[in-house]
This record gives sequence, C-alpha cells and structure tokens, in this order.
Amino acid sequence: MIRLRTFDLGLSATLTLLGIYIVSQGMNYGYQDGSVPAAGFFPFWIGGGLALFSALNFIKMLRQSGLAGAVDRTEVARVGLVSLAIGGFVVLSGFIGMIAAAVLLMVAIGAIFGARDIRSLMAVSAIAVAMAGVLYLVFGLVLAMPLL
Amino acid sequence: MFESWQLLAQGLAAASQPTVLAAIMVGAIIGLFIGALPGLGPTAGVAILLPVAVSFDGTAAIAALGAVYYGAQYGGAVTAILLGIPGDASATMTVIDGHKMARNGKAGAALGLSIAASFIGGLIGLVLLTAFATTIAKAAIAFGPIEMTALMVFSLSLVSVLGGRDLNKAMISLFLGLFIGTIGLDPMVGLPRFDFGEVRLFDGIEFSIIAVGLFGLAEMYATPPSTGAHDDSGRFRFRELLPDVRSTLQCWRELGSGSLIGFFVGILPGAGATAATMISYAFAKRTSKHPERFGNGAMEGVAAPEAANNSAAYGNMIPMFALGIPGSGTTAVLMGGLLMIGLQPGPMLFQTQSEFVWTIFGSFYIGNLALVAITILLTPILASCAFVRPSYLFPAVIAIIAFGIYGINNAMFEVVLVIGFGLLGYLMMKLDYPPVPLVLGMILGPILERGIRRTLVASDGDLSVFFRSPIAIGIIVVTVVLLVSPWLVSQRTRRRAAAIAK
Amino acid sequence: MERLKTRNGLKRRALLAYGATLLALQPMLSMTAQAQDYPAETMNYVVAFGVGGGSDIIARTMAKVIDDKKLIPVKMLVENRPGGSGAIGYSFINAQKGNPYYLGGVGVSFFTTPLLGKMPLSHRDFTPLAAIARSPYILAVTADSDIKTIDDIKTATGLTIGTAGAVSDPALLAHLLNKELGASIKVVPFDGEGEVMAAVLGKHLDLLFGNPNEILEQVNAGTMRALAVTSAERMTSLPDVPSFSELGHDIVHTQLRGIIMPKDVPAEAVTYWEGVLKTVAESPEWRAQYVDRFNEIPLFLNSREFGEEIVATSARYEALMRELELIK
Repeated sequence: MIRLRTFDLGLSATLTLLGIYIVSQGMNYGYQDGSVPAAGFFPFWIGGGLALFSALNFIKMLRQSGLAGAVDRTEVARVGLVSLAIGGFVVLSGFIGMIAAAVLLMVAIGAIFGARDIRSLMAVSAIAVAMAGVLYLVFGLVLAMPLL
Repeated sequence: MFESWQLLAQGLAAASQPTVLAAIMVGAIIGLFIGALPGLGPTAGVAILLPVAVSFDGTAAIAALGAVYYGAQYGGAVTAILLGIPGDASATMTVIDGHKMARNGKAGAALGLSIAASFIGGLIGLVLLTAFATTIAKAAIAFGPIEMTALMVFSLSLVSVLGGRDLNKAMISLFLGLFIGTIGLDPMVGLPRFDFGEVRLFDGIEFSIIAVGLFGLAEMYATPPSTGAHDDSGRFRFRELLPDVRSTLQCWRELGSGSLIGFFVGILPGAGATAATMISYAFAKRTSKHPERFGNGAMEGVAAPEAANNSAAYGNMIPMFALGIPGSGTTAVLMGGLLMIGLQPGPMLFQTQSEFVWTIFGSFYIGNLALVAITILLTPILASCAFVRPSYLFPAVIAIIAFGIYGINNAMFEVVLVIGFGLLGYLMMKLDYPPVPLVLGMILGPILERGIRRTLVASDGDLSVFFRSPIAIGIIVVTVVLLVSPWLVSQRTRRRAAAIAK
Repeated sequence: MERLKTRNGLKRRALLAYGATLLALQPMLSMTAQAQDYPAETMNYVVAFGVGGGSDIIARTMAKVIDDKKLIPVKMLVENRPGGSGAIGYSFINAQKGNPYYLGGVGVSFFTTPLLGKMPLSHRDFTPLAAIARSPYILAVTADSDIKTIDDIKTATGLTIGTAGAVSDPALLAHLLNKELGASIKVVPFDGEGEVMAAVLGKHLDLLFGNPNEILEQVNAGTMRALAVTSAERMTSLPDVPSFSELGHDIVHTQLRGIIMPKDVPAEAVTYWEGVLKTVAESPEWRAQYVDRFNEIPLFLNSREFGEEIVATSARYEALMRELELIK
C-alpha cells in the first residue's frame, strides 16, 4: 500500500517546479513588446498561477494528512504494465506491423486485467484476433489510413 | 419567417429524393460510427469522408457530410457514456454524469437520455437555424476580440461551479490546462513555445489525446481486474438496457436551457460548442435544487450538455453558411467541401443557391429523425457493453484507442503522448484533482490569450477598450455575479442560521 | 532524345488551339512514358495539411484533372500528412530522396517553417517542377468604411489590419503596406481567413488582405469594397480595382500554386512532369474547376522559372521574419 498523501506531495512538488519552469521560459519568450503583451506574457502568468496553487497544495498536504486513502501496490503495478504494453505496441509496430502488434497488445491487456487462466486467455486471444481483423477492415480499408 | 418555412418545405421535399436520402443514411451511420470511436470526432469524420463525398453530386455530398457531423455528435455521447471517453471536446461534460450513470447500472437510461437530448437540442437548433440564419449571423460578428475575451473570462470563471470539492486543486488543474493550451506556435508572432524541440508539437496537442488519456485510460487504470468465474458484473436486468422515457421528460428544463445556450453560444466562432456545453452544465447545476447530485450520475447533467452540443452544431453552421466564416474545425472542413463542389459560402449563397441551402437544411431534419431511430434500436446492444468484463472489453478498447489516436496524424508520437496523459489522468483521479477544469483551460485558454493580445495590439496596450464595449461589460457583470453570489448566499444562510440559533 | 521530343511537343502545343493540341499531345506523352518506363508506379501527392484546406483543394482538383484527361498512365493518390505547420508532410516528402513517385504542393509554411529553424530542411531540399496558377491578394474594407482609396489610408490614423496567421502572405503584405505608405497600421494576426473576415465585417478591424475568392463574394454582396490588388496587373474579375504598382506603390506579391518533388529525382521525371503540368495549367478543365472557380490568375512556370520564384519568395519571408525578430 502506498499512501495517497505521498503521491500528492510528489505531484504538487513537480507541478510547482513546472510552474517555475514555465515562468522562466515565459521570460525568455519576452513578456512585453513595447506596450503590447508578447509571447511570454501568458506563460508568465500561467506558470505563476500553477506554481502558486501547487505550492499551496503542497503546504496543505504537509500540514494535515489531507487525503487519507492509499493505493494498492498491485494497482500501481497494473498502471505501469498497461503503459508498458502500449509502449511496447508503439515500438513493435515498427517491426511487425500495427495489426500483429495489436494482437499482442490485446492479449497483454487481457492478461493484465484478470484473464490469467488458460480458458480466459484463449478467449482473449480469440477476441484479439477477431478485433485485429476488424481494426484492419475499419482503419486500413474503410478509413484508408496508412497503417504501419 | 413564413417564407423560410415555405422554403424549408420545398427543401424537405428535395431532400427526400432517393439519392439524397441514401447519402443522409450513409453519412449518418458513418458519422455515428466514427463519433463512437475514441480519438476520432466529427472533424476527423468529415475530413475522412470529404474526398469520397465530393466526387458525387453536390447536394448529396454536402447532405452526407452534414450527416457525418451530427451523426458523430450522437456517436460521441455513446463513447462518453459507456467508456467515459469524450470523443470531442464538446462531449467532455457528458462524461461526468453519463459515465457515472452507466457505472451505476443505468447505461440504457443514460444513452436514451442522451439520444433524446441530442434530438431535442438538434431540433431546436435546426428550427432556430431555419428561422433566423441570415439575421442571426450579425450576432456572430458582433463578437470581436474584446467580447471574446470577456466571454472567455466568464467561461473560465465557471471553474467555481465545475471545480469539485477542493477549489485549490481545481485551480491547479485549470492552470495545467492553460499551460497545455500554450504549447505550439505562438498565435500572434509564430514563435514556437514549449515545443521541447519537437516539430510535432508545433500545432499544439490535439484534444482527443488529452481526452482519451485523462478520461479513458485513467478510468481503466483504476478499474479492478475481473476475477474470473466469480464475476457477477455480467448479471443485469434487460430493463436497464432500455431508455427511460419518464425520467427523460423530467429533464425538460435542462433540455430547453441547454438547447438555447448551445445554439447562441455555438454561433460564436471559436470554441463555441465546448463553452456552450460547459455553460449549460454550470447553469443546470446552479439552478438545480439538488446541485450535489451533479457529478454523481445526475440525469440533468447529461441532458443539459448533450442538448447544448447538438444545438451548437447548427449554431456553428450559421457563420459558415451566411458569412462564409467557419466557426470550428468541423465547419472549416465542411466549407472545404462546399468549395470543392463549386459553391462559395457567404452572403450570396442564400440568394444564388437558395434551393441548395434549403435542401441541405431539409436533409438535416431527416437525418436527425433517422439517427434517433437508428440509435434507439442500437441502445440495448451498446448498453450491454457496460456489462462486459474488463478482461474482454479493455483489450478491444485500448486497441481501438491506439489505432484511433495513431490516425489523427498517422503517427505513433500521439500514441506515446496518450500514455503520458493516461498516467497524469490516473494520478489526478486518485488524488482528487478534477479533470474538467483542465479541459476548460486547455480549450478556452488559447482563445482568451488571442483575445487579450489582439485587443491590446489593436489598441496599442490601452486596457480601457475592454470597458467601452457594452457586450463585454454585460458579460463581466454576469461573471462577477456568478463569482460573488454563492458567497453572498452562504453569508445569508449563516446569518439566518445564527438568528435561528438565538 | 525522349526529352527533346517532349520539349518540341510542348512548344508546338502552345501554338495550336487547345482541343486539337491536347489530342495530338496525349499519345506523345504516353509514348514518352512508355519509352522511359516512367511513371510505372502509383504517384503519391502528399498534402502537408488537413483535408478541405487550400492546399488540399489544389491537390485534389489537380489530381482530378490529370485523372479525367488520363495524362499519366498510372493512378495518382492524394494523401494528407498534416502536423507541425507543414513540417511533418514536407519532411516526409524529403525523406523520399531521389524517388520520383512523390509530389507535394508549395504553401506559405514551405518557406516559413524552415526559416524558423525548426525543420532541418529548406526549399533547396526539394526539386521544383512547375507552377500552375497564381493567386493575388486584395486589400479591402467594409462597404461603409471612410477609406475609399489607398491615399485615404495615408491620412487616416489608428487603423488596424487583420492577417491570417502571424507569418503569412497577408502579414508580409501588411508590413510592406506600412513601409510603402509610411503608415503605422497596427497588424493584428488571426488564425485563419475566416476569423479575419469576421472581425472586419464586425468592424473590429479596418482592413484586410484577402483571397480573391472570399473578397469577391463580399464585394458582390455589397458588404465590402476592394481597394487594390497585389498582382502586377488588374484582375479580370475586378476590372475597376487598380493594382498597387499602377498606383505607384512597389507591392507585388502573389501566391504561386506550385508543385515540388523530393531532391535528386532524375531529370527525366522533372521534364515529364513539366509537360504534364503544362497540359494541366492550360487545360479548360483546370481553368474551370480551379482557376476561374477561385478567381485566380492562369499561369504556367516551368521548373527553372518556378525555382527562381521560390528563391525570391523565401528571401522575402526571411526579411519579414527578421523584421519581426523571429529569426536573428
């Protein structure tokens, strides 16, 4: 179990830094051009606002426990695995083509979401192959997209 | 007025020719289908069909393209409700309560309500379009940079209504959205901003990437895996798959207000439709006796934005047909279609091509009726999706997402972005950061920035011009009332409570 | 030999009337093609922008004319690769180095995106084939405006002009106008022609440089008045509107509708396409379906002439972007 408060502290801190980065970039782009706002005008205020509210949230989280809940480690692992699976699809598409990569992606996603025994895996594989056919038909043929 | 209806009657007759009818049906079904695919919205739908359509007869081509546009609006609601993914920025608000309803086992009722809302919104929008197209076009151009700035300030202030429990987190989400909106080439000088050396970011980040990541993937991440044989999510009653007429009628007030707000805000070029859904949702929540139900599966929360975005679609066509000014990405592509078949939209179109225009309007009425029939028949089948266990449903959905997002620019770069926004969305969901303000900021921020900067370039930095436009002053007053009134109300109830306590 | 034959054919064609010439030339063109085995594969026209936009309409209309007249023995596909302000599409074409089966169109960002230094390519990384039409810009005001002539602009104060895009033809022209007239018109960039038109019609702006097509529509409807055109001569569709040069102002800038190929394609391919595109440019179909429909000026420039124009246009943009401090 990971406490949500830890996550929130991390996110607020990151966003505070992002806000500061946006402000500094805004200054680089130029705040004003004569009497007229320039490219950095909006980023300057946006970054400032983001940094301010994120810092406020950070302080609030430090002071009080705020979010009491926690996340299961398995859920975090699942988030990571799904992201990896989609990332794998992106990489594999370049080698084996999008359709074949999509079959693997779908089986992987099915397994991540609970299809672990042979029967469910068979079912997911069948769905994946059928779905790949549909994807090819819809995106490749009907919508005429240049698939990899 | 009367003349309009006479012309419409002729238009309806002309649109009933077999070729045009066939075009409407094909367009409507393709639109419905593309709108339902996550990642592809009405703009993509019209763009995909355009090259094929223009090779046919002109009237049939535009009737088909129009049908794709409003068909996609119906389809977008399906994905928003069943999967929690807004297919288009204007479907974002439908996700909030629609998807909650589906998760509470009321998928059929939510879909039925969205169909009814789409139809009523569409019909009201159409009637207004028919009656006032040429006169109302003037209202659209009354909104220059100054007035747009004021309207955007007002829309962004809606974060106070749409923000959820923790206002501070809502503001973080809003500012994050505003930041995402600045990515790409600066609109005023062409300087690349926050591109991180990547040319693919020059045109900014496509909304559907944010929508799919922030809403769709995040939602799936947080869903517990199915536990195999003991899964009971497959059990449901057939009645839950059917639309619920009685509760739909109960939302008549939201349907009406949503349609009107949608139409009038939708006329304004820019993000009219999205702003309209947000304003109508906020209006419904504000005027509701039970605002706490909003966000937890309130019927009204589906009715208002769905009516608004369908009505806005027709409002949006007014500047295109009457002035030759496309008010949104979709109408810009649609206008490309008109140009390709040899028609120049603009003030002369109603005079020189009157028959064509009215046939197209007629086809819109027919198309909307057809869509209601099609979608109601499909509702039980679609609604049963909500009961498919994740281990079977998610693989298919994620694969469709990957292909749909790839299809935006035929590139994998966008798919990688989706993964990132999925992670962000998951964190935001777990940590109670509301996602709607992010969408609000991302869509409306760029319009606000353009408004402010255009105004100040034209006035040489003189801020007082904002207070010389009556429309802008009016909008700012409404904004102030919106922001201050809840505070005043709470003060009064506190005082009253104190008085009673004494 | 084959090249000579095509050249001769084209010269002869110019002397004859349209119909007869086309009939005479067609077998010759396809003969040339057969002899060289080019083109033997499907031609791909890559549009660096979305469907329904200006570049897309040119591509599809051209493809349709080529197809209807059977000018090439193979199919021609139009493919959209939008993104990165044209950078994605142009990089894609460039990646097909030496491959004469890819074509592309030239738009404003063909010049400006490389100049921003964000695309490691420039116009020198492509082979110009030909230009097949020319589109001038028209300076216009609303019909009830106090500005009646160019001279009125000089005396008026606090004028504003809307441009479609920060770095674009209208922006370039607006800055030229200021320079030529010694005026200080404020240049307000918008995102597209439609937005500018809306702002001018709504009286939020005073002036705009528009496409003939959209301006004519408004002029015919009586809502706008054209002041001057940016082509060297008057336009046939607006005989009463003077050109800037005729008024003594050095503002001549038109948008060329040109076609390019990747770098290092065989010279035969360039010659072949010069021939095909000349036939297109001079065909009544192209005139009717594109030039007249969008009120543009008929034109044909061969590879060399078009190449020279590209260099000149790029220099003009570079000067503008330096002035705007977008490049140092």
